[in-house]
Amino acid sequence: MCLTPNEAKEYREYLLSLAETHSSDIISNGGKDHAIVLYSVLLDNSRNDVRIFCQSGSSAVWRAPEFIEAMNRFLKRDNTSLKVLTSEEPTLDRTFRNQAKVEIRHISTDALRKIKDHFKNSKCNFAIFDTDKYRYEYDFEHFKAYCSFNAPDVVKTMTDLFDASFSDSAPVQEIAAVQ
Amino acid sequence: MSTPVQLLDLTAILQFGAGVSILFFYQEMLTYVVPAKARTNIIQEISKWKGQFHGVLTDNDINRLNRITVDPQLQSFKSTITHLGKLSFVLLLTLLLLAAHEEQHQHYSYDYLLISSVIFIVYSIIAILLIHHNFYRRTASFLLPAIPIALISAFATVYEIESSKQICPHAEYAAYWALGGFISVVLLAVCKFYYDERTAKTLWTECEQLKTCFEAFATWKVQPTEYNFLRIPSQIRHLYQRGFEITPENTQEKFDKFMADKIRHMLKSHHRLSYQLHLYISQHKSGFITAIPKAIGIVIPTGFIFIYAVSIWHKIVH
Repeated sequence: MCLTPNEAKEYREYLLSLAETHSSDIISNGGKDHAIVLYSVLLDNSRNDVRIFCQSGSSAVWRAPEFIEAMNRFLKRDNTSLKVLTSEEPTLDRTFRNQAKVEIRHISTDALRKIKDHFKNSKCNFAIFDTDKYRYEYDFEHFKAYCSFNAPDVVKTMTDLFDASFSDSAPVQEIAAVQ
Repeated sequence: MSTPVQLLDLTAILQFGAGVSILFFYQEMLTYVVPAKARTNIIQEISKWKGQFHGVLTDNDINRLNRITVDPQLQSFKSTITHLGKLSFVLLLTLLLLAAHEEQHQHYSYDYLLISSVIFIVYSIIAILLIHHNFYRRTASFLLPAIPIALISAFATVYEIESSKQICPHAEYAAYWALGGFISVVLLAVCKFYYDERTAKTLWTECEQLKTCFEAFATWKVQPTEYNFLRIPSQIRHLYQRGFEITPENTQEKFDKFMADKIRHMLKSHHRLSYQLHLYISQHKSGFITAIPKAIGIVIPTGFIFIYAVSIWHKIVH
């Protein structure tokens, strides 16, 4: 599903209205273009912590200029941090790797199994924004996901799962040193 | 011989009608009467569906949703009302001029007033049924119906009683049947109005149910607990055969297909979605205020029927 500039603008406005009203509606999100718009809106509306569990951090979404700009805007703000957990070898853009606020880890086998068991899904990714917003990708091949701008209960469960998995996994530098 | 109907007796009603018609010359007034916010809400609702369900929709479905247009300012609605107001004014002004002339000619009969009334009423009904189209942007679109209506009213309706009897000896019966016909047409329009409203309400309910199904299923996907599974409506759980092990991973394809099929079916069976939505929203979301100009749009032609019915009754009684 490709988005024309007008459609992208309309979709962004819809997402911004959800963010502004702290809507608890669950929305579907499918396709690369829609995912990029959603990520940029989520990042622009995040104040502190962003946690992302993804494949390697080099998907079409991560390479999109709009996503990179939104991430840079987020990281430039005070009191922000980004934690990235990857299921494969992390291959994030240098822009993110070299920032002090960014922490990247390659997930351990045990932690990966725990995530798959929790969601009962072997093709899932997820991202958590502050304490109330999430994007759960149930099919990472097609960027198909569910998202909510106000679901503190779900976010708490995801945050606990992410933090436990993150602490079980080794930082990228240590992995590089071992190799 | 029956006593001819005197337009002079109806002058007060005609003047009142003309006064009301003048009010609708001004679209600015309608802007305040018709809250544009209610219409903006419709667009937001459609955007909301596209935003919320786009993940399960194909490009074709999205394009079909994009083709739905609702004018938030309701320009076509307002211009139709203004147009009918101007035409009513022309017709009523013509009748008032005839009434003024009547003072010197006491023996006029208005059997053939029926002709201009029929033309005006049928024209009004068609305009109201096509209210979601904007046909009235140019001056010519007003002059083209206004001049014939005025001319027919002025020249074709006034006959001396004797000449009227010679031209149409069964004028009273013709008037009866015509009146019955008008009322039936108006009743049909009213029935259609309520039918559309009911259809829109059904559509709205279907959408709400679909939203409930979607949110329950998505919640279970994100938090696959037994509690969340049981909250999924049975119509979704019944998609899967008995004995099939339902897991978050193997259920998505069938659920996406269910959602897309449902939305396609709704779009197919409600191809006049925007119009019906507009009716429903105006009735249920913005209250009775928006119904006022719409009602007046119906009342103007119905008023003519009433005036003519009074004239026929007057004729029969005397």
